[in-house]
Amino acid sequence: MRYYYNFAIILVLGLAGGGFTAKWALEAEDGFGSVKYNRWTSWPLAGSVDADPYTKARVARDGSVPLGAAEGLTFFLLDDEKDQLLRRECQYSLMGTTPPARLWTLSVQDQDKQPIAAYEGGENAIFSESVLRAQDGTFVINIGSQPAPMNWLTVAGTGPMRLVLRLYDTPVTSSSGLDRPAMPKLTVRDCKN
Amino acid sequence: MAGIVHISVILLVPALASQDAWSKLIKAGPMWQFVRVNSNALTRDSQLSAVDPLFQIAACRYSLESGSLSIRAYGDLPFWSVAVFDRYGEIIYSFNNRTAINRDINLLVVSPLQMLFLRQNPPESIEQAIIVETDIDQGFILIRVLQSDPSWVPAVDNFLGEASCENLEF
Repeated sequence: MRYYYNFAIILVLGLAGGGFTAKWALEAEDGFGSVKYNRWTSWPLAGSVDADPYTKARVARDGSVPLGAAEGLTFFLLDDEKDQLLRRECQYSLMGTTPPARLWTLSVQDQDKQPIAAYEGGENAIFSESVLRAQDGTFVINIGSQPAPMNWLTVAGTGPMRLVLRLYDTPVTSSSGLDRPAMPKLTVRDCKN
Repeated sequence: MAGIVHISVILLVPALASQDAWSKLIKAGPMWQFVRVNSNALTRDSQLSAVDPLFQIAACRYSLESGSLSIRAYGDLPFWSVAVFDRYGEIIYSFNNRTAINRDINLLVVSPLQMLFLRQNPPESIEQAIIVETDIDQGFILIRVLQSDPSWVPAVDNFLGEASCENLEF
């Protein structure tokens, strides 16, 4: 009898433990297969035949359609320089340059990876060729609900958010891998909670 | 035990996922036909998630069992890219408008057997085509077109509206 009890306990713990850790591994924001550069996370092999089983499972679970190597590469930013998760009620500045690419876009997503609506009269996505830059090629993109000079990425509402930078036609995806790409840096300007 | 369950779950997710891109595309439209997958006309169930808001995307499901796949689209746009996916969302081949001939889309996806026929008597119509050989049965193709501002809507609509996804038999 005791044998069966032990067996039942092992079975329940095994199913729960295995299922829970699998779910956790697939929901982690920087799980297996991801690389991090200056806080930006990317999944360079997502959608590729060479991806690890975790990345493959994540793509299937999210129902996402990653960019192919000849298309581009997506980067996500979830927290600021003080390790605080990004929030829609805060005002941020994104400064610097991006890795080389024919073009890029910057947009915002909510925690369910859905696009966030733009603030009235603003844009919820920015295209590289419409970005105003300094003479040295660097840019400052202000992100938040308050109007800002230069480049303004508007964000409406409250709650968590993430920044999404998509590089298109970029040598960063070449087989040599990511060679320390220079990513833009995010700072908090104002955060009312 | 937990380790075995963990590994099994991870390995089974791609085969069993009910909300993967393929399942969404089944709800979005029939095979051999381009569907705009980020259009407002689709429900959340059939819209592809987490795509670039500055892009317009068309998808077409194919099956190489009944013949090869021919994709064609014409028009000079600033940027587009094409990815050939298998049924599980893995990319077999991708290219963009700078790597394409004449900046048009002319792509032929064939099975190894179809490739054999093709080598024996190549039809003239495919001389300019990019030919991709694969042993997968089913999958989908995505065309992503940059629509950086509303002035590009007519050109992008025209490009994607005229794009063809044909089942070619030799």
